[in-house]
Amino acid sequence: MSLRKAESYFLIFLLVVAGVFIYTSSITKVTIKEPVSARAYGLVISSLFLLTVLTRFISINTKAYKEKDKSGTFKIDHPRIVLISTIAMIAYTLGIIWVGYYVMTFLYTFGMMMLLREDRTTKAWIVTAIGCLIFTVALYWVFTMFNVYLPNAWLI
Amino acid sequence: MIDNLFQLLTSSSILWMVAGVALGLVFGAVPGLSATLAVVLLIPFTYNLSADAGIATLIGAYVGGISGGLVSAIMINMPGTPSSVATTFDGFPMAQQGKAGKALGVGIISSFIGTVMSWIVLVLFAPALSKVALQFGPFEMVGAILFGFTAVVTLSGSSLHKGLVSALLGLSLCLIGNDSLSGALRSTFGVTILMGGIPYLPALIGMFVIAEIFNQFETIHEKYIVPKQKITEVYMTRKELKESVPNFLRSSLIGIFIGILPGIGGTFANFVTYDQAKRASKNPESFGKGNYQGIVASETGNNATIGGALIPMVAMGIPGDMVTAALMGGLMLKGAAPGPLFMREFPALSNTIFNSVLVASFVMLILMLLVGVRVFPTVLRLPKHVLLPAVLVMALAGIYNINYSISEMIVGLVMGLLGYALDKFKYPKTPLVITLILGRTMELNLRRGLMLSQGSLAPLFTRPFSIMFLVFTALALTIPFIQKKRQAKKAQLSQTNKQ
Repeated sequence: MSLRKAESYFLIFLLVVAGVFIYTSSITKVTIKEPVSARAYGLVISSLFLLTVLTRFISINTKAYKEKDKSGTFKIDHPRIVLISTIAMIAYTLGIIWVGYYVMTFLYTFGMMMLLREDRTTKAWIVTAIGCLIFTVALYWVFTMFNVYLPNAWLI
Repeated sequence: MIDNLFQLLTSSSILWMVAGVALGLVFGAVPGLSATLAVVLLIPFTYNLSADAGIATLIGAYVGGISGGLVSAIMINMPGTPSSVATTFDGFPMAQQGKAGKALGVGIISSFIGTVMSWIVLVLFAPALSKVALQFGPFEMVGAILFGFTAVVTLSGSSLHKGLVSALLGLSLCLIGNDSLSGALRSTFGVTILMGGIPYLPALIGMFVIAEIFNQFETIHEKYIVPKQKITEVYMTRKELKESVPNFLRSSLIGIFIGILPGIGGTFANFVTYDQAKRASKNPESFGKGNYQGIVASETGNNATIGGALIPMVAMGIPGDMVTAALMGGLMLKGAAPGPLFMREFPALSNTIFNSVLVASFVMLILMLLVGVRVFPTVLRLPKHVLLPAVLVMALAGIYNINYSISEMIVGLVMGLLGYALDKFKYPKTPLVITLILGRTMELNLRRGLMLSQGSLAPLFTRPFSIMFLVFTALALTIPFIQKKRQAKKAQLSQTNKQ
C-alpha cells in the first residue's frame, strides 16, 4: 500500500475523532454564563481540527497530488514482533492490577527478551531468567526503600 | 551569603547534595523517571536531616534530574525527562554519526551554563522579577502562549499542514476532562478515568519513549540502537564555546523567563529555545541533522528554568512548576513556608537555596564529566533485546509513580501507539506535545480574561506585555517567509548573473 493511501485511512480515523469531539463538545452543559463557554471553545477547536484534517485529506487525494506523489510505500517491518509487543504491553499493564507488579514485571521482561533475541539456546533461557530475576529484585528493593504504593493484587 | 556557602561546602550537607545530584542524574537518565519523581521520592528521606541539608539534597536532585535527561536523549533517542525532548532532535543524529562524546559534552556544559545563568538571575533579581510575573494577567499569559505556539511552525518539519493537524489534535485532546472554570464535563465519553483530562507527563512519555520503543522493534535485526563508538572529544573547544555565546545567552534568558511563569516549565522551554536557535541560525537546515547548537539551546534552556522556577517560590511562595511545588512541600516539613516574607524571615534558608543551585550545578558538572559520560553510555548500549523491555518497564513505573495511577499508564500506552502512528505517517509529534502541555492553560486564561473584560479582546492589544508577545508572535511568523523570499530572490539574481 502506498504511504499516501495509508495516510488517507489515518486521516479518515482523525475525521471520525474530530467528529466525536464536535459532538461531545456540543452536548457539554453550560453551567455559568460567560462570553466563551466550555461548549463554545470546544466547538471552535474541534471544528478547526476537522477542517484542517479535511483539507489535508482532500489535498492528498487530488489528481495532481497523486501524479506527483513520491512518498513511497507504507510498511511495518517485523509486524509479528510489533503486534505481540503491543498485546504484551497491554497484558502487562492489566496484569499489574490483577496479578501483581513484580510477578508481571518478571514475566513481561523475560517473555519480551526471549521474543526479541535471535538465539534461543538453553543457556540463553537460563541467563535471561536470572537477569530478569535480578532486575525484578532490584525494582522490589528500590520500591520498598522509597515506600512506593502498588495496587493490591492477587500476588506480589 | 558567602558564609552560608562556606558552611554548605564544609558540612555534611555537601555529601547529601552529592547523593541528591547522583540520584537525580540516574532518574533523569532513565526514560520515564523524572526530576519531579526524584524530588518527591526524596522528601521523606530529608525529614530527619537539618533544614539546610534537606533542601540541599532536594535541589541537588532537581538539578541532577533536569540535567540527566540528555544522556538517553542522545544515546537512544528517548528523552530521559520530558524537558530533554528537543535534545533528541540533534543529539541522536550526532550519536549515529559517531559523535556521541561531543554531543554529551555539549549537553553537559550547556546544562551547567544554563543553571549558573539562572542562579545569577535568581540571586540578583528574584524579588524584582517575581513582581513582574505577578503583573501577568490572563491576557499576558495568552500572549505568551501564543508566542510559544509559533514554535509549531518551525518544528513542523517539511509539511506545515501536517504540523497544524498535529497541533490541533493536541488542542482537541485538551478538551477532554473536567472544565476547570465551570466544572462541566466535556468529551469524557462517560469514562471515569478521563474526567481529569489527559495528563501531559504520561502522554509525553508515551509519545517519545513508548513510540520510540515501537520504532526500535521494527529494526530489531540491528543489535544496538547506536553504533559502537569511543566516547571522545567530550570537552567543547574554545571556538565552539565562542560560537555558542549568543545561544547560551538567548536560551538562558528564555528558559529563566519561562521558568518564572507558573505551570509551564522546562518541557516547554526546551522547544522554544530550540525553535529560536533554529530561527537565529545562518544554517537552519542543518538543525535536526546533528547541529550541536540544537543541543546547546535545548539543554541551556531547560536548566535555566531551574532558577526561573525558584524565583516566584522564594520571593512570593508561588511554585513555578511541579518540582518547585514538591520543594515547597519539603520546606514546609521544616516549618518554613515560602511566601512574600520568606526571604526576610528565613534569610539563612534562602541563602541555602541560592547556594545549593550553584553548588549542585558544579557537582553535576563534575559527576557527569568524570563518571556519567563513561557509565551511562555503557549501560544504554546494552543489546536492544535487553534494553527495550527494561526501558518500557521503567517508563511505565515512572508514569505510575507520578500519581500511583494505572489509568495514567493506560494513557501512556495509548499515546505511545498514537505517537508510533504519527511517526509511521511522518507527522511531527512536537506540535501535538506543545499544544497538549499548554492547551488547558491557554483555554483557562483566554476564557478567564474574556470574563473579566466582559467579552472584549481589547486588553490583548492594549496591555504592554501582551502587545509585546503579540509583536514577537507576528515577527516569528513573518520573518521566516521574508527570509525565504529574500533567499529565492538572491538565488534568482545569481542565476541571471551567471547567464
